[in-house]
Amino acid sequence: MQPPPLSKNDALNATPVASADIQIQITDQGLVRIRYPITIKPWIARLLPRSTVRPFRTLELDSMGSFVWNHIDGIRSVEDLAGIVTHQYKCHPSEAEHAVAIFLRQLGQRGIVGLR
Amino acid sequence: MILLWDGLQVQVPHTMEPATLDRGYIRLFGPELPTVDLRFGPEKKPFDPHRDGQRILRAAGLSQVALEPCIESWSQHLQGTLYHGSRLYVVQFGESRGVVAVLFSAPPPSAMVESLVTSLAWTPLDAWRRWCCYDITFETPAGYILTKAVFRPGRFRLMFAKKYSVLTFDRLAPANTLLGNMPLLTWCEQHVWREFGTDVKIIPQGPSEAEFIQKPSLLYRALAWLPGLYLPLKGKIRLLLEDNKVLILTEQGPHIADAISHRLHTSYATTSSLEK
Repeated sequence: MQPPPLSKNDALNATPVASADIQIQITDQGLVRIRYPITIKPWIARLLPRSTVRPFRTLELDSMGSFVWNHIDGIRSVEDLAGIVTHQYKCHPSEAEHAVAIFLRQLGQRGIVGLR
Repeated sequence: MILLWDGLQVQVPHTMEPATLDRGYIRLFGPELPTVDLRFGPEKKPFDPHRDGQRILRAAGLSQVALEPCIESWSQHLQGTLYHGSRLYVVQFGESRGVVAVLFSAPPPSAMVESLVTSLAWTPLDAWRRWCCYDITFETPAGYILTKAVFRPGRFRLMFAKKYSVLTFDRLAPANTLLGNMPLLTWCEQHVWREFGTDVKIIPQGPSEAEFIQKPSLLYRALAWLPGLYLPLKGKIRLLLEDNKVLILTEQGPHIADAISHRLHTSYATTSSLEK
């Protein structure tokens, strides 16, 4: 059974935490490049031999994504990150919340971050 | 915050924000306050609280109550007549012939009702309308109807139409990320040519402004009344460095009078730039 979806307040107060399985590189332009293992469905994983190494994929963030990533420290909440984006990019607060939420959801779907 | 949307003016309570904006509809949402739904439009025939009120109450799930004139002292200063039934308030604007139904999702605090209802004002479609939503403000000439409203992070787009004439207000952000190290003109070429094709001419108007224009094709000039023809366009791109935003106003279709076009362009701004 799937857990109930988070309310907006709960989601904003959650703290994003980077996965331990990822590798981070910084490009010459100062952008963040994330190497992450692809997520395999549990039933497929059971069929694979134990010695199988999970394949990796690489994701390069744009300047705004890199900026947000650099502020994910396991302490700042989603709301804090949205506030930093609002201040840095002079966005409307709700627009920044929406943008950070979409960004974290996309990273979460790839198993790069989780919410605590 | 004052919200001006589709002819309606409303004061958004301090902790609330617009959650949905559509034609003739606004939903305000905020923590620990009842959600507010505002439905509004021009009065097609004089509003009758018994006949129309019953219909509105039924639609709001309040069929067991009646819509009665409001006797609160503050309601005497309104621009129209206020009716009240349970969580529903209906304002009928006499002169401008508009009706607004305000439905609260739960019994609201009386101060909230007063501040929200007394802030309501209505501008009919046959006059210039001012719009102010999130961080942008602009005006639309008489008769232009909202056809599309998209609010995505980084990109707002509002489109209006009147017969064959289309106005598009775009707000892109953050400008520093979009432009990178490119000068505005280079970015304009890339953006405009990608959106409208390479036959659009770009005319720089300084370091933070550029105009673009596309001449009408021979086919359009001969058969302008035919639907489906690609409308000639012109517009202006403005880079607001202090607000980190790019504002684009595009006019498509028959030529708009210069005075109207000038008012359109000068009224399009960010709310923070107006505060300065």
